[in-house]
Amino acid sequence: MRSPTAKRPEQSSPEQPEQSSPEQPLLEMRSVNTHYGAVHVLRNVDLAIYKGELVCLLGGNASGKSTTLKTLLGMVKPTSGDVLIDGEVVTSTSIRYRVLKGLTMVPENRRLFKRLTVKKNLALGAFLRSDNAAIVNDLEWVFELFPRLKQRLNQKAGTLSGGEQQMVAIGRALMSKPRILLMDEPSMGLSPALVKQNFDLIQQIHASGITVFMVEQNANLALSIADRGWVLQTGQVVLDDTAGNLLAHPELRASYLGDT
Amino acid sequence: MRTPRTGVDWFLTFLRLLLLGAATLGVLLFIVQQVYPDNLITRWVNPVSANLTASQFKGLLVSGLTQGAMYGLIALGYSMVYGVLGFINFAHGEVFMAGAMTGMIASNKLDDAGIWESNFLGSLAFVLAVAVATSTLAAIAMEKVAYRPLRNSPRLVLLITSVGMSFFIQNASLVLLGAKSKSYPRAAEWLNGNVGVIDVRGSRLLVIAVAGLSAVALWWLVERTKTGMAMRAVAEDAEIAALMGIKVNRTIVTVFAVGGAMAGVAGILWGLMFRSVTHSTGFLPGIKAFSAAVLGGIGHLGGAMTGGLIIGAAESVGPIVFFEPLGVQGATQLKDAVAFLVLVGVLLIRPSGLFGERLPAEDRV
Amino acid sequence: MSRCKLLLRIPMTVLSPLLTMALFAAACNGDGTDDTPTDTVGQPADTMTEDESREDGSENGTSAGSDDMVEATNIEALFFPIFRPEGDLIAEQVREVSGFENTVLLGADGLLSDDFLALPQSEGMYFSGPDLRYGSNTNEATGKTPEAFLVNYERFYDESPSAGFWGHSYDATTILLDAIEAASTVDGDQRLVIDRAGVRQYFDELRNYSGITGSLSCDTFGDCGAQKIAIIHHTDSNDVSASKDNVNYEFAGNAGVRSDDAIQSELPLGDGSLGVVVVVPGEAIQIRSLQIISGDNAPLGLTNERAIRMAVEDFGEIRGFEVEVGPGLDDLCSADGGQAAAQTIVADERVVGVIGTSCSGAAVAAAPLLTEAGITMVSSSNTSPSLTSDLKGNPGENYTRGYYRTAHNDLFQGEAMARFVYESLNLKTAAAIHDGDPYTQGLAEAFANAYRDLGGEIVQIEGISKGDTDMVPVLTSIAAAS
Repeated sequence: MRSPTAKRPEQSSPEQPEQSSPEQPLLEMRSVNTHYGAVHVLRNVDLAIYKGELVCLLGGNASGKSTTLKTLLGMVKPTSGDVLIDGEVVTSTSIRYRVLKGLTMVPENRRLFKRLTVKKNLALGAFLRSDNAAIVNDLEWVFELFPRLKQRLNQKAGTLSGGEQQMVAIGRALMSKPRILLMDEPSMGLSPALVKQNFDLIQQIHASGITVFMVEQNANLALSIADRGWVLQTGQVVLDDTAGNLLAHPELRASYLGDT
Repeated sequence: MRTPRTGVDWFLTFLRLLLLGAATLGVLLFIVQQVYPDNLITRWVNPVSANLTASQFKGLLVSGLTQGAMYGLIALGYSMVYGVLGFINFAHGEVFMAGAMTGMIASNKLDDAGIWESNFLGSLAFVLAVAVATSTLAAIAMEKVAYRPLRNSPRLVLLITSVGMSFFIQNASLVLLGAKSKSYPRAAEWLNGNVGVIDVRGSRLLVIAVAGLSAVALWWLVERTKTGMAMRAVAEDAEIAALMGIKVNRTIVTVFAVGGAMAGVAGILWGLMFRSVTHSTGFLPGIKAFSAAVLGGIGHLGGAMTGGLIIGAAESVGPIVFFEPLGVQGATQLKDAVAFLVLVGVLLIRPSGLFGERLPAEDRV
Repeated sequence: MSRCKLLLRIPMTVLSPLLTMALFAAACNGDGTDDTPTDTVGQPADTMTEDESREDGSENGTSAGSDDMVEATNIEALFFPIFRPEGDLIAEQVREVSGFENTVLLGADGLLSDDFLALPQSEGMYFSGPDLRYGSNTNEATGKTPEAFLVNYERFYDESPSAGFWGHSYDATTILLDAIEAASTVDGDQRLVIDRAGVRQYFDELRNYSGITGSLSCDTFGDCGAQKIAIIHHTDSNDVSASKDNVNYEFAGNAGVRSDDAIQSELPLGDGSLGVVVVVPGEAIQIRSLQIISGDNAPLGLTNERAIRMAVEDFGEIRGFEVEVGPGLDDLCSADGGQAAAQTIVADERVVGVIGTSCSGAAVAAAPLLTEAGITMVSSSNTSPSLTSDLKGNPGENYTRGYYRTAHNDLFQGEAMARFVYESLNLKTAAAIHDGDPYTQGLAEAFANAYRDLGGEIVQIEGISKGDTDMVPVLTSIAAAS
């Protein structure tokens, strides 16, 4: 189905200014607190994601995983603390600004524009871009990743199968030419076979040079492909380690990996 | 998916069948009567019912379609705003009235200067521009002042606010311009006569043509431009649209503006066709246009336009075609009833409107 | 469930209105010639020549000529005694409906305002209304002639009256004031005592009162008008006043049940049965003006109200007491408006009489409330037969005792129009349109009945709704019925 040789078009990477030093995280959260009304959701969360990494944030229900993503993107404003992209404080900027900076997200449950065609969904991904030639190249790249979408181009997104919708969701995110891709629960609502396929795909996207930050409940799966990870519990980062260490961590095994 | 039928289902089915039966009977009686004007049934049911000649029928149909084209243009605004914000902007009829009013003022100024007659098409374009600008601004101002502060309130709050806005604009017009009905100057002579082989009054053709062009322009905007894409994206999922980098607030303003512009066009066409405007001009067309939007499937633009044409044609043709053969006296007075009957009829059979789409339950988690 | 839905959807699609219309169009095209034989039955031969003789005068005779259909009959005359703006729309849209190419358009006093006459589409219409050629009539209470009145009117208001019932309003007011004078006495404390029943008695006994509008006598059901009707021909929308003087036909109605014997009752009038109003020195006698003073028909009511105020001024004091009209009340030309205003009036027990309403529709609601309270109501422009009588001794359905009017009864106006159309214009088929208002409906029916009595054919009486804009359906329905 997928061509394993699919490569991201060349011209897409050099355009981003290579200003970040090795110590400079691409995306960072500094002691962020977020409230929903009176509910304190995130408590002093610190995160740092470096260029080229594939990292994951683990946690159970209502641990604040999705809020972390929303805070990073600017859909939710933190009550204190800062969000930084390339060392620049973007806490009070719009989503649009952060998307222009190279952030994008594949939302939980895909959230496609179901009444629009697949083509329009992909085009919306590239909404902020005006480099038409590069857009065409990226579209070709998406078709290489998901050849099936090419036949579905003029079909309404809502009529596709779950797996195909997942492809459109990822394709839409890729069309914005992201530097860092945030994924909210990529395994949610998919059959085991599709989950496997999905995670292969994430690796492939990562291999093409895109930094990936995913939020997952399925810790085993996530850690199997991630470099590093954090564990979030009631809004606090309780563990911060490499994937290997986390997999071996007894407490984590007990609470998230189903080991008893 | 199959659910057991309940009493309500049976009742609805019965209603549908009854409705279809009545409609079919009306049509059949009408056709029979046209072919054999002196048949038994007609003589029994309604001895004085209508015998339409072809040109009379054409006249009816064209007049209905003209009216319907205006309904359709107004309906677009209802439909677009509903699509994006999920509430019925009842003040939209007043946006239409505002366009018609300013058009009246502008055209009378031109008429006083003698330009209206000497350069009719130029004047018309100017008046159209003025009216469209007014309606657009009115719609934008309304969004900013009344609806934006309530964006996160329940939809019912917005709905009530829109009713309030409607009264406010009507009364503002009453205070500023008085209660007397005001007239547009007479359109150019060639528009008042019947034109060409089709033998239809020129102004009616103009109305249909301008409405058609506006609809095509809107279609192009929505389907072929980035702005249109943004509008559709926001309509479907504002949060995700924002994630795509779309400026949601600006897109919503654009939606109001475009809806307002369409209402402005309708206002001028109204003025050309019916000439007189008052502060309450927006009320009934507004209600009819709203019905048209629902009939076509609210949120669907082609549906709004089609709904408008159907309601316009139905209220013009319907009474004579359906009610006179059934023996109803003074049938033409029932035209408003017919318009809403058509709406009810369509909704009974297709609850989401003609083009309204209900996607299969997709949000399986 | 879903299969059933699908089954239902198929006929629905088939019946979707546009498609059915195509069907009808096909059906209609096939039968064009069938119409002719059935429709010419009962059609006097001379009407066809009448048609042709007038064809050159029509604006767009082309459609009639080029159409391959045989237009069996034209409606020769269309009477729409309604108001603005619906009247504008009928006059504008009538020419595009086939069957009306040469129809003569007729309106009544409801449309007879300067604003309407200034519209180009009103050119060529005939209008019935009160005969305004008052000559040297003199109001016996004030000695004012029409000329003197008009000079004053222009001096006060900088324009000439824009609607036709100023004379009726003036007369109505002076009669009411005369009635108050005849029914009042000054008591020992220098207070004026007005007998409410006496005011009505004065009207009941009114014979040959000389007013601006002519000689007024009240019949048993409150019709006091001179009943003079004129029909004008409106030829030029740029010269409205010339059209108003262009009288083509005049008609004087015979009073209904009315004894011409003057009755001489002892003064002061009244038996006290309705109570009295006592005015203390320094206070004024209260009467009220209830007219349409807002909206499209405001010219009618404003003119009336101005004439009322002028009459009060000319009349002067009654037994040393001033008369106060108070702020003008608005009848909104509707039942709702009439009712609301009447309730305001009856709340003030000092009010003796009301001049109003302008519109019959408002009077239907206002008259019962006002007369119940003992107030005498005199209208100067209500003309609906239902408010008084059928002129044959039967009260109208909305007649209440204590209601009088100086305007004509529409049975006369309808008869005048019918005679004019049938006898002078020599048109033998006509139709009428009303808007459901008692005035328009009463007049349309009066016209139709009189026209039928003369031997004419009334094709149809159709109703529209106030606020309608598209008149093609109603016109087509009439055309199709011919």
